[in-house]
Amino acid sequence: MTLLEVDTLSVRYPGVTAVDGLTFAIDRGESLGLVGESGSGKTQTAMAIMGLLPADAEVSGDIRVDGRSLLSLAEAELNRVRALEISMVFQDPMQALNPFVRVGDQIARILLEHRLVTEDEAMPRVVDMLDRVGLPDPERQYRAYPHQLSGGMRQRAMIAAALATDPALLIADEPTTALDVTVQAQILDLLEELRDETALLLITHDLGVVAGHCERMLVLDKGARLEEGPTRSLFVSPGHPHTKTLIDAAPRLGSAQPPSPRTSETILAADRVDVIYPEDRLQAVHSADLVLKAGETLALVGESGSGKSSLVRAILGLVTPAGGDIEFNGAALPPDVRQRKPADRKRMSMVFQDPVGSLNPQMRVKDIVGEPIGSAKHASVSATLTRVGLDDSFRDRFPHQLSGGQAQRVAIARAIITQPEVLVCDEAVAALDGTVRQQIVNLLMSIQQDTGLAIIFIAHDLAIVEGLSHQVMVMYLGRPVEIASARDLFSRPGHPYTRALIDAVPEPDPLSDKYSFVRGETPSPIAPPLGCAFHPRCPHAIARCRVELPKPREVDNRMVACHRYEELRDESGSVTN
Amino acid sequence: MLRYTLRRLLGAIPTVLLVIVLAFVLVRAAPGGPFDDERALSPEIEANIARYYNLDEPLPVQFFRYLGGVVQGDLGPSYRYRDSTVSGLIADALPISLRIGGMAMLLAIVAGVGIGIVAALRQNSALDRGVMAFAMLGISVPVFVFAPVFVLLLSVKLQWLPAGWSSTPGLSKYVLPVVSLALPQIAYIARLSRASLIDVLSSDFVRTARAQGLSQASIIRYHALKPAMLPVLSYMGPAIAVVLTGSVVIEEIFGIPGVGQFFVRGAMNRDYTLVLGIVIFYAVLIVLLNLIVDLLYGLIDPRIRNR
Repeated sequence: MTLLEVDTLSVRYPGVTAVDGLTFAIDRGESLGLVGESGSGKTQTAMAIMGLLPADAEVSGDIRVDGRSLLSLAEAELNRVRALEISMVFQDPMQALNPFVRVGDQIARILLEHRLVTEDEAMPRVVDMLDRVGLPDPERQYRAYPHQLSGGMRQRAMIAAALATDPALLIADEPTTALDVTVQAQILDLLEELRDETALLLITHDLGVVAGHCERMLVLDKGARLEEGPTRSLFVSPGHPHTKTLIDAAPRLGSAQPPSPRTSETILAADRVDVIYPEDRLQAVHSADLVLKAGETLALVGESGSGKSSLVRAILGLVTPAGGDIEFNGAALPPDVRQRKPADRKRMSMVFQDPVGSLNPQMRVKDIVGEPIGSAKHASVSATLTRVGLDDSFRDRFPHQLSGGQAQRVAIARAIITQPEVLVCDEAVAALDGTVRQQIVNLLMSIQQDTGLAIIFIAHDLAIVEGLSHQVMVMYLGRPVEIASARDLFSRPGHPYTRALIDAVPEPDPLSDKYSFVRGETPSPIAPPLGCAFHPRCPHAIARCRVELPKPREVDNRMVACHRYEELRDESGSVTN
Repeated sequence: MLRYTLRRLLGAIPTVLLVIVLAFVLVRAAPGGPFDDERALSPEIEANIARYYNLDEPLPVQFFRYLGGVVQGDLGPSYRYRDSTVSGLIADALPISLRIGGMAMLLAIVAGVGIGIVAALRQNSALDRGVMAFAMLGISVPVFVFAPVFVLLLSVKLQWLPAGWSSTPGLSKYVLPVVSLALPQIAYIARLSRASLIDVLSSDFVRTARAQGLSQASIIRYHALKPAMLPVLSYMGPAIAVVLTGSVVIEEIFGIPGVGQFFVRGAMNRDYTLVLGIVIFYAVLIVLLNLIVDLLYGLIDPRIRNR
């Protein structure tokens, strides 16, 4: 039975067509994945269904729920539909929840507004709902403010709010994009488990998410439908070349052979680095060692709060470490970047996550790239732009005239124009679409091949890391838990946390039955657990793990900080579950 | 919270001290003295008076003697109002000033926020534009210009309201001073709350609330009003200071026997201790009210509550 019909829907803004004659339908209880790259019109479609488009949007076509057109409804009727028939979960739960209102009260307000409960019934109903979405101690969480919850807990609360009215359709717009990988898997499972009779429209750029959670999928490109069909058959035999490109570009483990480890000289070494933020009363990095060889790519992997960004900031001198030494080419570097010699500073550079935001909006591309060498006219500006794949027509553009991928190329050009020996990429491809992401990774690898540049590549996405890194360092709550060559680490993860990260990567394969075992979320670095920091989430934890901090040990050609490494290895040939 | 309060109070001591020093120097730098404008006195009597009030000592000694008294809560005797202490004069005049200032603040908040909300909800309509143009006028025209105009129109021409102060009971005498004092604040708060509410209404959590089917009224009441009022609350500190200084002008125009009028008279008469005492009193009052505003801020915004 058809629940939602979208009929030749178009959304236009002055000068732009966001959605272009889109038609699709969802049956009761069905799950449909709406996939496409950024700008393909996914979110605009969802907003049109919810009646949340801005005032300057011009909507044509029709949207019907149970045969009733939504576009002609009066505001009051539309409000009933919004809560009782369609509800929505948004991408960023921090922004989507009101920071001034208790979480429970925000959910209770929905029920009260639509007179589903009386004032007295509201609280027990909401507490029950919070319990169902897996919030521990739901009475307490009812009274919590959003900032007191972790990212995953906030998204659980959002799901509780969306399902509280028992809607017929749930629209989830990139519901896990802002979350850590191990948390992402839990949230997707929760959605699956709770939605029951509720139909699901899941909007995502991640084909791994669609593969595991949607019966059908619809591929959008430039606001129009490319193709639509059962998820399994589209994955097996995509009808449109763009669909195939999307599927191929989806990050998957095991698709690329990691490069063999380097045996070159050590170029950069960090020794027992501590980073403390006194104002936040937390230690972000605990006694971390890091070794980077010339021409090597070292991937730094971990979820939020793992201390990976703090560690590289200490190496670059952007935060002053509370302890430890940093050596570059065998010579000690002063901790503060301002005390470092300009020549030394130019030997390390950095590329940031937000491509457009990290470029000065008032400078032209040639000035941005020429700034580190003090001249936009220098011949090397053109040469460097050519090197990153941008022709001379880009020289006079401003950052807002660039796409995300082009902006990141400019950022890379700015970083390599001083001919550094070390390049730090902090989540440099995380904000980019799949195909563009692979192009940027390829660019970095080819620059490395030409120049022998050593790269520290910070990422939370293991699938990206696998194909490009020689060494991988996994961090958890400020400590390295495993360091190994990419080959060893991906074929035989040594630390249970490494294993958890690998298992949590959603696989772009509808037939995969991969199961993620890890529960919970990274605890706050303000109050880290005693003993091994991972023990509360580790399925292999024993009494010793709860009291004794595992020291990093050299075993089997790798560094691993786990009491039970040998046992778990011998049991199964690798650390499995 | 208690530690924060204590820290803020201790931090205010240098501020108040600086105010005392500056006020002391400025008052003494003005030509003339407290006993100059009366009929000529013989040098002996003048010297006697000076000695009686310790005005013959070197300035630094006078300053520290005065400061010693202030620390103990003694603002000294008035030089002009014989047999009156400065503290006593302030205590007598304060109730009237507080009443007028408090009523003006209340009016400014209620009217300002109300107008701001209405304008925000009808953003860019004729009503919005008209109200905001008036608000701009209210901010730019000084009190001493429109207060006399009010008096001219409403009291002299139309005879609706009394032009000046009288000791007779009744509220009508309050209307013109309070409205004159509040008007620039109404205008400013209206603009502030309009901009702030428009900003909040475009935030993601309001979009969520719309997606949850909440009506516009519910969204304003349960989601938008509190965050939208934070900028208004932060403005309360400066607003109180402006209303206090504004009351000096208003009291003079309407002839109200409040603290402001004593201040003006004190300055004219070189009544050193009276001027200094009122300056110190106002400085402490502003510091305390600002502290209260900041504490309230913490109560409203849960994110900074535990800082």
